[in-house]
Amino acid sequence: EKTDRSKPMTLESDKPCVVNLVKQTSACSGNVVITQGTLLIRADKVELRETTDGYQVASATGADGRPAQYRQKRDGVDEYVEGAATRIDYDSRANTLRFEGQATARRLRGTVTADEIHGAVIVWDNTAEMFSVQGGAATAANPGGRVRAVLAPRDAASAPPAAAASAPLLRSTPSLGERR
Amino acid sequence: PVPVPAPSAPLAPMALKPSTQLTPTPRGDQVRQRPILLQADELRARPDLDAVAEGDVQFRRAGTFIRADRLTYDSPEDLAVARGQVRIEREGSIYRGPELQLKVQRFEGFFLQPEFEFLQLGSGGRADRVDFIDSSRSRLTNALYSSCPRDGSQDPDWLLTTSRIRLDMEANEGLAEGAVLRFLGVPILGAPVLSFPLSDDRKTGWLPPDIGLSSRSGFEFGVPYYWNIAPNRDATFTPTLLTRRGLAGTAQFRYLELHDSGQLQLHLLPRDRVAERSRHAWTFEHDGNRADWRYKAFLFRVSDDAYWEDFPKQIHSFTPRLLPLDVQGERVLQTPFGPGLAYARLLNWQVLTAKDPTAAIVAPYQRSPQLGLRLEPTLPGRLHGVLETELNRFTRPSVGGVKDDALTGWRAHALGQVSRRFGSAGWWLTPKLTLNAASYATDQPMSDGARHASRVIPTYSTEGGMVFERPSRWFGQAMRQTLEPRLLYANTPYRDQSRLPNFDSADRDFNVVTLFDDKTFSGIDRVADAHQLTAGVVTRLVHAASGAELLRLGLAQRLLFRDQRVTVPPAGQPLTSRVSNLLLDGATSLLPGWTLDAAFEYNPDTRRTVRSNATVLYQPGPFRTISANYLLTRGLSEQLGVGWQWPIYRGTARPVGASGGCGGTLYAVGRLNYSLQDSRMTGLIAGVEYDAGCWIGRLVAERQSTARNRATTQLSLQLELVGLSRLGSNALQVLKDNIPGYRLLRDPHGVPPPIADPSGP
Amino acid sequence: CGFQLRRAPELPFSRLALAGFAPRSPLAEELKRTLEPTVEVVESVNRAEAVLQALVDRRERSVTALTAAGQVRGVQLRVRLDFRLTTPGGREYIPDTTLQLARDMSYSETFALAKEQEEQQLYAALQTDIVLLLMRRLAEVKKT
Repeated sequence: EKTDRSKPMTLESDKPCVVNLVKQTSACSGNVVITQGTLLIRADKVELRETTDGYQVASATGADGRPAQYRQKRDGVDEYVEGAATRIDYDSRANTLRFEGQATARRLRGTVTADEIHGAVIVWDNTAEMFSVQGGAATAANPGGRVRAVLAPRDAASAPPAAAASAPLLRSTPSLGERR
Repeated sequence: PVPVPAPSAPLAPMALKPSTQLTPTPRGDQVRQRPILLQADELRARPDLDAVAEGDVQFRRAGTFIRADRLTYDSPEDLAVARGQVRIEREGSIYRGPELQLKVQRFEGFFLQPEFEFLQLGSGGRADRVDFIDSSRSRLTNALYSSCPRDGSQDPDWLLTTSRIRLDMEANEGLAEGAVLRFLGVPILGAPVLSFPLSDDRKTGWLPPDIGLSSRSGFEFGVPYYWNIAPNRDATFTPTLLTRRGLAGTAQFRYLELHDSGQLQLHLLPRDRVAERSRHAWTFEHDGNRADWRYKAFLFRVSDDAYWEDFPKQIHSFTPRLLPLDVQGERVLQTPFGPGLAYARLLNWQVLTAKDPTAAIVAPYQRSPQLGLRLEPTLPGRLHGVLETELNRFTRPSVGGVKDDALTGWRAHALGQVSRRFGSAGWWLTPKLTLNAASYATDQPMSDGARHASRVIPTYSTEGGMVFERPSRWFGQAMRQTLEPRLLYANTPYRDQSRLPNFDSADRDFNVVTLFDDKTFSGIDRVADAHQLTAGVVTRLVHAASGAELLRLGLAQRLLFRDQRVTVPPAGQPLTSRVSNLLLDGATSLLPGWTLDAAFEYNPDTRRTVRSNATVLYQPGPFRTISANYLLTRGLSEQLGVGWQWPIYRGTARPVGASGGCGGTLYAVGRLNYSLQDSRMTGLIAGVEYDAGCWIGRLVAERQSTARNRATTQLSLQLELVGLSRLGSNALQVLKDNIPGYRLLRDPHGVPPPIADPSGP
Repeated sequence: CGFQLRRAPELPFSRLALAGFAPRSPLAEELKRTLEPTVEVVESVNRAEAVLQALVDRRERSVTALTAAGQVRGVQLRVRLDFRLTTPGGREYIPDTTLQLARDMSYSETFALAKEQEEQQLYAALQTDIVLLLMRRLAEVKKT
């Protein structure tokens, strides 16, 4: 939601973070989880930087097959936006998220996947609430290297969940994994 | 902190769910429920609002597929606007054009300067504009339609130019307004309104005219009207003008119900100017089966005896001058003695006399009625039993209005048989005992004055045989050669049956099947006395790898230890020679594409072949077949039959159409029957078929001799515009019935399966 | 000269399903009787190890000789079976094959009743030969 940006941002990780006060950056690695209001980013390595005018810029990268993941609730609607890519760049001032490298973005109505988009680069503009997707080089998961999208019909919420949406149902884990 | 459900395991790529059945394309508002599948180089999407896709965009939803350079989709309006080499595909029809606006779910919108194509028929064309009304109906303005290649290399052979075409895929009907049909540039048909089928299914409406020329009825021109009453019922009415005889009409009604199917056909000539009377013929065929009850009917009736000469095409009976009126039913029974079959039948004949007295037909008996019960009782000790009991009333048909004075009456008969088969895969031995009991009650006194008679005649027979095999090599291929000796001993005491009537017995042809059968005559009334041994041997060459039989040669002969005194009147002769004729028969398909089948009956006393029959079939590939059949019956007839379907001119061989008939090929088709004995052609069908890919021209001449010096010649012309309709009389039926191995140039069931909705991306 | 008595062919499958035959087709019933001792004929395809699919199962009859006055003198009887043998999954044991045998029979309208019975006997003999040809083909199927 829009109010997320004004909320405090917490950051947890297995290994202690290396904080560089001069450049106002902190780099953490090992199962890093960032939360800010309904925003949640989970990745293997995260580099966080505070800009001069108080906004944060984070770039999270996954490792060896486990992509970085993102999840946030949309404004005023019981819908979530999720995304995963080898690298996610979050700019809280422009309120955009940039997924790069086998990027997948998904919009969920409650627990049901409404839209699902694959591409080389996906930019989710939170204020304009718009996906911009670029095709790119062919990859294993997406041989054509082209943008592929499944857009749910408008009033699917009232209709029974479209049987055709064969995306695997996301299981939500009961609680956050215990931190060691 | 608030327990925020963490995202699950890494997002697995979309897994396709196997679905066992083919889900049909949803229609109407169900379409709104289906997701939209988009592929593009670039995409900008605002959820639930709109999406803009660029670069080889592919848009797919519930059976509709759109491809374009650029596509914007407005979700609230459900409006897709596509630009740049737009191609839209829906239920077997494709439209291409520069720009498309379409309300996707209601499939409402328009297309400028589209080209269109119907996959099922391979036909299509161009139009100024197409307006989609809904998912199955659309309207084209100023459209050109043809099924000939439209790649601009040469103008299509036939072309339908219309001011407007309305297409309804659900009713599979195309309605062209202001239509002009040009064939090879010549306008051959102009119609304010012309309807044509959009698929091979049947459609109500005027079928193209039947055109023919016959030596007996002059020029024939008929326009059939087809009425598609229901998917399983239809009717065709064909008013026909015969220049020499006047106006005729044919009505045909066909039906296919759950348990019953059949057809009724009436051909009526109210006023025949040549014969100065009204003439008609009707045909009724019916076939029905319930759980364990089956019934059939074949009824043919014509108004006068010359019908088969004047209207050969209207006679569907197998024997043109002997028309059956046959109704039969049978029922499977479970009796305490074992499985059984009860059957009843009524068989009458209409016999057509010929003008030539020497060609008169001695009428066969009629069974009115025949009641029977057949049992296969389960006997102890692996004995196999068959018991057939029947009651028949034999009457005489009227020939030329008069009934001859041959004997008529009732016959009850019982045919009991008990046999036991010993043996394994390599040998077998089957002793069999048969009892043929019959009792007669005739209306007129028999030759000895009595009206009642009965007799019981037993037959004992033993059949045995062995099968030897050995591997061998022929022509460098591994083969297996078999040697199969076979013996049959049959013994039936002599019972004088000369005074008994003969209703249904006759001599049988001399072939392997009748030689190795313990009864000499067919039917019940005559049981030949026998004390004979039939010996035979067959050798086969079987291809080891595939098990295909490449060569079979057989030799068989019967030794008679006693004269056979029982004969079948009128022309039967007692057999006095100790050795029957020798039978040599064989078949081979050693040469690929060739099959040769021959049988010779050689009389050892006169050292001459009494009967020989040889068939050669050369069929190297589809649409190429030549068959020749030579039949000699010493002193009776010597016939030669040749049938052919062969391409004689091969144009630009472009494989086209479901059956791969090559475009631009001229086929010679036909069948010739020549009687060598009276050196005269007794039957000829000759024609040419030109397959130009998008149209087929068929010209067939049929000449059938109806008397020693008289014949009926029939010429029919047919033009089939693939994708539009068949023009001209049904010469196809004649070809299909008469030429062995003839194959349709367009296989009707070569229809592509329905396009399934690819559920899931 | 190397001939030995034929041994019963051991077919590489013990359960066979018949598909594509017309209901109560005489050829299918004779095939079942011939297969019975060595192979179990099952109804449902997925219980079978092999499926014998009949594409064409037809008895044909055509006039081969007509006299000058429209009397039929010669008839050719044909029994034809187009079949393919596949695994239930659809993999081919035997590709599409045509088995066709024909016999000629003289004919005379006067003996129509007798010729009708002779015709049935010839059809039965042709059908038995077709079943034997088919059994030889089945015996050669290699269980891959």
